[in-house]
Amino acid sequence: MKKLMLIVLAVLFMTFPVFSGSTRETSAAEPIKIGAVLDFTGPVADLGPKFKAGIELALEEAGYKVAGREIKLIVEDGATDVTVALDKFKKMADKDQIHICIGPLMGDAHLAIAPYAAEKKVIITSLINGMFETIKYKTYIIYPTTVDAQTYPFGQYAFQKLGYKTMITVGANYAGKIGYTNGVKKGFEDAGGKVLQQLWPPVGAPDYSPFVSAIKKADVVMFALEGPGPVSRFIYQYRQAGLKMPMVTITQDGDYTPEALKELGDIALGIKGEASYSWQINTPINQKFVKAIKAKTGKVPSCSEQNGYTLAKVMLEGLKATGGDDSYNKLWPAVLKLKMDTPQGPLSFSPEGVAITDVYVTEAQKKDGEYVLSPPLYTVKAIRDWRLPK
Amino acid sequence: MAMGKPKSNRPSQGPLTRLLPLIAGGVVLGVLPALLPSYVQSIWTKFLIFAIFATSFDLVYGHAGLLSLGHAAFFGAGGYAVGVLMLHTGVTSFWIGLPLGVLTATLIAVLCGFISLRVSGMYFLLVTFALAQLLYSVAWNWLWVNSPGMQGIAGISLPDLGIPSFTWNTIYFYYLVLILFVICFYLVYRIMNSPFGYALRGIRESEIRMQCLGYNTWLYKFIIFVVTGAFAGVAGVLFAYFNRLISPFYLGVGTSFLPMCMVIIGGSGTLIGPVVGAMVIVFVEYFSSLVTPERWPLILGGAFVVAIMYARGGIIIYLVKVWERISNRYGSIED
Amino acid sequence: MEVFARNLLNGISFGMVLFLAGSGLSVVMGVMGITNLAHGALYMLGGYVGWTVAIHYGMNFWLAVFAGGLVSGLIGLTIERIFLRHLYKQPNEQVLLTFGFVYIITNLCIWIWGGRPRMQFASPALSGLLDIFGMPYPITRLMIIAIGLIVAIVLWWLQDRTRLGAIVRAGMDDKEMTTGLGINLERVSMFVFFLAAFVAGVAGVIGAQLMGVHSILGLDILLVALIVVIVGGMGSVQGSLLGGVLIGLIDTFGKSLFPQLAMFTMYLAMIIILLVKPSGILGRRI
Repeated sequence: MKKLMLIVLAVLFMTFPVFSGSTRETSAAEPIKIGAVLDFTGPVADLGPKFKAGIELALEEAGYKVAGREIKLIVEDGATDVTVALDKFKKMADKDQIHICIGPLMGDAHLAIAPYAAEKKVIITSLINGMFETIKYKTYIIYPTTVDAQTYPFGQYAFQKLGYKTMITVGANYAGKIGYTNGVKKGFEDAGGKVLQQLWPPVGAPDYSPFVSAIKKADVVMFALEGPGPVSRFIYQYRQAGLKMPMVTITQDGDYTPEALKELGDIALGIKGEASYSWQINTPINQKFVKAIKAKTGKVPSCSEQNGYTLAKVMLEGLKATGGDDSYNKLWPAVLKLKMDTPQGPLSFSPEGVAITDVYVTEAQKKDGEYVLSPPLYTVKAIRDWRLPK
Repeated sequence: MAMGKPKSNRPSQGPLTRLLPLIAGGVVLGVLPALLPSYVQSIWTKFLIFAIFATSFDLVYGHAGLLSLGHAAFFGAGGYAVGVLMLHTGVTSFWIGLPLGVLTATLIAVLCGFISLRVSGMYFLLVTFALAQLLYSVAWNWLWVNSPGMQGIAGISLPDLGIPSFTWNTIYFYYLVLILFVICFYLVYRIMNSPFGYALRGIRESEIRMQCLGYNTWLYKFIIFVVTGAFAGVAGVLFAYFNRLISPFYLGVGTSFLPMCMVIIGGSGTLIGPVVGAMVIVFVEYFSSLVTPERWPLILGGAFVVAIMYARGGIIIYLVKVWERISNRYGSIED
Repeated sequence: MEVFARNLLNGISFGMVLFLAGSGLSVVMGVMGITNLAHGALYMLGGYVGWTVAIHYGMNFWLAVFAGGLVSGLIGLTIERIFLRHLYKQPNEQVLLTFGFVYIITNLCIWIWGGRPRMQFASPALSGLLDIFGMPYPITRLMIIAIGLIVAIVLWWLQDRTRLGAIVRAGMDDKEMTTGLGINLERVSMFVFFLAAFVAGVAGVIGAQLMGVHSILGLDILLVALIVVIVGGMGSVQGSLLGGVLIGLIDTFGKSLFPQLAMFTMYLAMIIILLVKPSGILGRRI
């Protein structure tokens, strides 16, 4: 009988999910499940809790309820890894039956998940930017805009306002930063500048000195690397090599969180860059938001909290418009019609699902002894990816 | 059914006791999944795919004694072949994808085999490891094998079987994988019990002795290395269809580690061991993902270390012992 | 010219870190016959411990180096005493076991220190630039070269000029004979293994000046260390030194001159060696 017992036990073991999972169709009284794939481990592990705080704040303000239905937030760790993010997404789509997913962060994870999400009819949103290639799946909310479009205005700014005529770019060799770099390059060259050299250090390069030593002479060096660690390493080795050319970068998201700025210290001061948000934006709605985040986490928000907050609010507004129907066919068009004011600025959507927002130029500054992101030095209104139909 | 059990003196087993494992296996693998919810079905599918992968690894490690630390190179190569085929030609036919994947994996195995079998012992390990990582770098950097804008190939669609008006669903895909699993399993069984298989085990025991007996041991090692690469490629092809994404990770050491674990925990050198190991690991991973996903590598590593130290024969030895005791009791009654 | 000089020094200093990371692995492999794949994880562990001492507690950098080495050494010793000892003359099982420890140690590091990478840190006294013939060059890198040379000399002396080294080599050739001569081989093996792990931990802190510490280092450094062993040859300090510096130079110059091949330069070197002289440039046996 022992063998029979073994078989029975093994079978029970493997079919345990039958008893633990639920596969019933959602009905009106069922809670709406919102999934989130955030990163709590890996190179951008700092950001996961920030996005979560922003999302939770929006849901708390709504009392975790919309149009008479409860909201259940399911958060999974994507570990900054495409394979893990896909696995977690699959689990949430198949087992938990979500129809809305906020995240993941990385561009390649978007590309990996988009076809699957389109099949399963789950609306996914980006977290800090999106890939233009996912537009064709019609299931992607790209916020604040696509990777390239986000940095395009900064390229123009570097030429027109900062007066640089030639540029060298150093971009980490993966989707997100390649996109950023290309955006800056296009903006810069469309305005009349010239990019003399493009360097692509591999992701996780332990040592940037070979690349630093290969940098030729130009008016400015633009760098876009995969996280505060690499950014600090690069700036450090750049300064160690005694290079004097000014630097610009992307001053937002993971690279310039309050914690990262503290670690970077003085060496980050004065480096300007593109950012989609600064906590020092002077509007009543942002001031209210900053206060609420400070109360929740004890720190000022970076763009991570803001993006999480705004994206969750977008979903809530969409659900309000559909009367609580979270199915794709109803929710997708409802979201696209939204026009809102957010802490970051005004927000609307193109018919393809790409958000239309303002973008800013900021820099790191020292204020009252603390290293923070400055208020916007310059604003470009209503950014729209140039490849979208007019 | 030969399971690599140790021989012992016991009353001969009646036909029923011989067939019972087969029937039980058939029921569990063939009938049970159809009754489960679709999410659990996909876990079963994953288990079978890795069972093929693990069995291929056991053939080269458990039987030939070659510890190939980069076996995922062939697994990933099969998967990439499918991905690249779809990416650049849009062809999703299964009847092209599978042979192409197996062929690619075999070619990679031939190359890797040539380079790594130039050395033996510790160096062999290191070289197989480094070659797999090299392949990882190539896949990461070579634009041609990547979907635009990312590392790896996304959006791999389910295979086209060429059957008119056939649409996929989780259980159908499971049965496809099951069919391939049975085929591979049978082929490995035949190899194991052929003169070739015996020669391999001889080489594992003592290569010098086999050389003295006149065997061209290098050739035997090379052949099995390539053959197991081909089987790993089959698993890789199926995995690409299953996962809908292939990425450099599936060429690297993180993926190579899995069949190693499965073989050690399940029992190396047997036919069923790797399958049992695959079942255990895939399902424990699933459960751990529900409860404590961050600690999964720790659990995996810990179980692996424990298995190597104390349970060298793997779970299969325990199961075999239990089975023998039962069959003794019933066998003697039948006689 | 300045670019060349800079690359040269950068390559040598990076190579020194590689030597430190790989020497322990090479010596243990060649002389004790144990392939410790967890070596990279020990490097990483040392780096994390060093960070905790130097940055979290703000203590002296050299104390951090010693602490990193000590912790890694002890963990390495534990692995050897409790686990590896029972797998004598079973190279495959040893490899597998140590590989399992890579996962365990890596995950424990993530558990303790979290997933966030740590930026590079160094002794405040060393953070400055030295003028070398008119070229400003970071002192930390020069110090790394100096430390690498010192460690190399000490290890070489131990290996070739002491009774200890002779005992270890004898024990590898013929354990029974050596113990028959009344030598406590176990103690010597323990010491060698501890030393190798200690150097790995030290390397982790020293290397953190260039690379910081993060949770994937366990595998990244292992790969690099293996390439150093393959190229330089296993079993000798000289081999690791040569291999390390050579790979450091190849990698640095490669990235500088052919940035597109950034990831491949190391592998190319490895494959060339494998095809030409598989036992490595200064390798003792295959």
